[in-house]
Amino acid sequence: MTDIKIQMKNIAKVFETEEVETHALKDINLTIRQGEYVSISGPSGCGKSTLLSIMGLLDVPSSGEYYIDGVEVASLGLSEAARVRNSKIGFIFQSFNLIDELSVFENVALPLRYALEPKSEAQIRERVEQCLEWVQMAHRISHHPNQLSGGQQQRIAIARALVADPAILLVDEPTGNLDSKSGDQIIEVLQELNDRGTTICMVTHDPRYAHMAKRQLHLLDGSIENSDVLMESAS
Amino acid sequence: MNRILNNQKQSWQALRKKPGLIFTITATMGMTTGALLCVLTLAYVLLVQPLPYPDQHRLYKVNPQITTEGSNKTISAWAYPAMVEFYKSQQVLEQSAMLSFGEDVLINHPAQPTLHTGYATPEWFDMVGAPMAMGRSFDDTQGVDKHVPVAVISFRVWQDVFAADPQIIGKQMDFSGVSFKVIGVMAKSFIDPQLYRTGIKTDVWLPWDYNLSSWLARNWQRLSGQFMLVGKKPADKSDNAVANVIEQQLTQLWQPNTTGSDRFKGARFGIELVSFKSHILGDIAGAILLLLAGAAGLMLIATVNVANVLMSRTAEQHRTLAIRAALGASPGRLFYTLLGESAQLMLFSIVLALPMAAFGFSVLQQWMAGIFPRVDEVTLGPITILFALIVVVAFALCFAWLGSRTINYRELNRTLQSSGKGTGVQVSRKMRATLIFSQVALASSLIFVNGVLFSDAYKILQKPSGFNIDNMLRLNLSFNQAQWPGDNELKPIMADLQTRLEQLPQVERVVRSYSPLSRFSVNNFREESSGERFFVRYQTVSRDYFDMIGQPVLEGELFGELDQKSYAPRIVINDELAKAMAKDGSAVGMKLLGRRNRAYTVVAVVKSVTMPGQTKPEYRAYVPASLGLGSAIIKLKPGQKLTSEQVVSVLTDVDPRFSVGRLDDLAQLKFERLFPQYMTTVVTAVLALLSLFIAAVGLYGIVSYSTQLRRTEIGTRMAIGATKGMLIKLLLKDNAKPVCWGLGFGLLLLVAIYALKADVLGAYLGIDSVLVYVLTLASISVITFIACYLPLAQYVNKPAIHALRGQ
Repeated sequence: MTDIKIQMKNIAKVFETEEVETHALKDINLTIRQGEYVSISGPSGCGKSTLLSIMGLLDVPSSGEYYIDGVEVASLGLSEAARVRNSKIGFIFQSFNLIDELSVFENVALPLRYALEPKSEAQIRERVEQCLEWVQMAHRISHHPNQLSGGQQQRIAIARALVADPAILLVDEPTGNLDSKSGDQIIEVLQELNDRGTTICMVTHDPRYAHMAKRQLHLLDGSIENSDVLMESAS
Repeated sequence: MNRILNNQKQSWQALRKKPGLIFTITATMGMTTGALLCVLTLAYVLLVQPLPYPDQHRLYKVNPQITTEGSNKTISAWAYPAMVEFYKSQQVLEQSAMLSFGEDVLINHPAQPTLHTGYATPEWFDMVGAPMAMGRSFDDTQGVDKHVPVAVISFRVWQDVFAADPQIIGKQMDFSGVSFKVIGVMAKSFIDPQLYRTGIKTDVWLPWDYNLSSWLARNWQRLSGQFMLVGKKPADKSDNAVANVIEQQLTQLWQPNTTGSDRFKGARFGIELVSFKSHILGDIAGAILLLLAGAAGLMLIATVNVANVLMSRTAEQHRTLAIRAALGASPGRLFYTLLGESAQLMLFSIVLALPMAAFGFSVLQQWMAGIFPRVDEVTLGPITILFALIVVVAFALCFAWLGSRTINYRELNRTLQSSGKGTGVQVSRKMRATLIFSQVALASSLIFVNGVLFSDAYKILQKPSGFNIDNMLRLNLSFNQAQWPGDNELKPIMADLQTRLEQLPQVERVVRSYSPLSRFSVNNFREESSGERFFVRYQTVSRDYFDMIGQPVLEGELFGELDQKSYAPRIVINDELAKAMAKDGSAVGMKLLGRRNRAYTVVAVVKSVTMPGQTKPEYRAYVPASLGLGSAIIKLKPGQKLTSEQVVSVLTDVDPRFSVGRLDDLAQLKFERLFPQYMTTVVTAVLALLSLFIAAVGLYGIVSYSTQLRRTEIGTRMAIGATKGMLIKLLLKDNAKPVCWGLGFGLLLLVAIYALKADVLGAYLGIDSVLVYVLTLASISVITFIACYLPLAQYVNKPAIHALRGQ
């Protein structure tokens, strides 16, 4: 089995309105392997979020090929895309996006509830507790998001992203809504996860955090400008 | 001005992108406002608007109140001579007039139409300020005891019966052997006060001397409600003072003429003055208030629902509003922006509501003239427009205010700072659940009640009658002279008429009999041997009647022509009565004792029929009709027509003394008989659909609103793998609780209403009601599903990023 987790070939995204055609992404070729920690940075409007959305199957590319774990996913239907997101991708958002009505436990358990093969309550509890341990939030399992600080909420969001054992974590400006101390702590957690083998792709405009990644991609006007470490061209 | 125009232009630019919103609100508010305007106008005309007559507040109907000794019953009626004497001698009223009403056939017209006749003394026209289109009304030379045969016709009769003949003045109109000269045509604008009966307009006015009750002219004993005295009260006298004077005068007149009469021994005379307005209004005021409450209730539900939809619209506009706020728009300006939209939506609604109200007015005039008085005055005029304007302004302001209440001005600014990722509109979850709950409770009860009424009326409409009246007409003859000829004289005339009618190419068959839709008499027959009594409806019919209408004979032999000739005491009964009379055996040969113990022998049993409008057959019986009966059933060949003129021409040949009293299509009569059921099916179906539609709009509004609030949550759930099905399930589950509570409460409400009025409502409930309830549940479930799915569709049918970013 190959260790390539994500592979994009000639991915492009064009936004069309009646008058204007905006090329948000142009000819993106990108491969992310098992255990990699990739950061994507660039100026505002360069296409970072668009790339992350396509990578996470939240949006569809206008053209190109896209593989997750060797499976072509660029042209999946909405439901199939949801299944792939559920099993292969873990999301971490800038604004945490926890559901206020649900407890920490239920928030973290949510991806498992959406899984194609449902797990028993005991299995769910075990897995949720394990993920909360990883982010050191096990003691908050019965709380609700609004009882937690921003940094704590983001940790819960990380636990939620990990719970279904995804192929890759997609992280969108994880520190954007946090003070610098909390931000640093979150980056530390991500670092630990990567050290334990989790594949991470993070969008950030903060150069400090971008440099934490093993590989840094720079986007400019929808194209990958350079890659500091390994950059594979799709062949 | 420019600012207003600019605001309206911007509102329209925003609204035009939302045709669904425009349709939903316009349809909901348009339909309900239409109904409200219609009822409001009717209520205004009946309860507030003065009658269209000069000094209308001084016009009264004078009702004598006679209480006889030993009985506490008060009779409100005149003795003919008492009224005439009073009219001639009275001085307390500024003006008085005597009136009587009837029906007569206009003999010298080719169609011999039956017209509503009014008999009046000359003051009547002055009292109601009757405007004339042509000629003049009665004057003193046509007063009491003058016997001058003149006529004043209504505008409608001039148009319809005389084809607006410009030479109408001076033409003759022959009624019951008297030829009246037309001296005037009333103006189109004249509104008949309909004092005789609501819905009956007088077609032709004749002098009092020719009234149909004049045979009572010397009878002081007989009290009758066939005639009335009306008067104009002097402006400076109170009702009581006038009533007292009339009372004294009447007692003086009446007492000497009833001395020695057992009936009037110790009788007390009183007077009741009833204003025209309250006489015309009758006891309909309660019904009007109920209608008003109904329309207002409907309007309230619609308003709540539209408010929900608009609240969801405000939530949707949140970002735009935030930008406006950031650019310096004050809360007042934001209100103004919302007002622009709500005003336009209300204007669209009114554009729909006014024609709907006009349609309602025409329905009132066409079909409800017999129920509601003064419907001719209910028109789309300034008062309706004024109500419409009030509704537009009030609701536009109300909706804009409600919308602005959902905006937290401070939160708006924060919304912008957090790039739309926060929430800023606050209608609590509890409030939303309450709205759904009340919506469902109300809608489910309304739909169920209407469904039950609909199914009941529909069942009656679908009920087979057991007889056939296709292509059949009912003919009733009228005699143009005072006394009907004897039976022996009539027999050959009727036989001749039957033969000649049957010779007409369009006629298939004529039977000399009353029709199955003619009124049956009732009698309490007694079975001779057992003495058991049966309340029976009976009709005089010919032998051929049963064959003509296809009512099968089950047993025995029908009476023959000989029985008809000899008025033999034979009777045919229906199987319903036969079963009751002879529980195990045959009823043929049994005897029924009728009036004056006349014994009728049962000769045959026929299958029971169900009359239109009834649910089950009753005891019915048929006795031989005289061969001189002036009624017939005419069966036409398929696709043929027979006009009144054609029958008149045959009749004139047979005997010119006869005219066509009535010639009715039996199918039309059946329709009229079933009109309440037709009306009920239409009204209840419309109301049920309207309730469903409004509930759907309301539920959609609330769910759409809360779905918009949950946009980010939905996006997040999608991001972590929730599929479309899972999200629909989630939303249905979240809303199921208030919906179920609503259904439960609705059911409780229905049970409570039933418990209060079980005696009345029991008749409507049966096994069908269960089906109706299941359908109600199904329809509520469907609209709940739609209300949950539609707002979600905008997110789940697109890639998840749209929900996350709020696109």
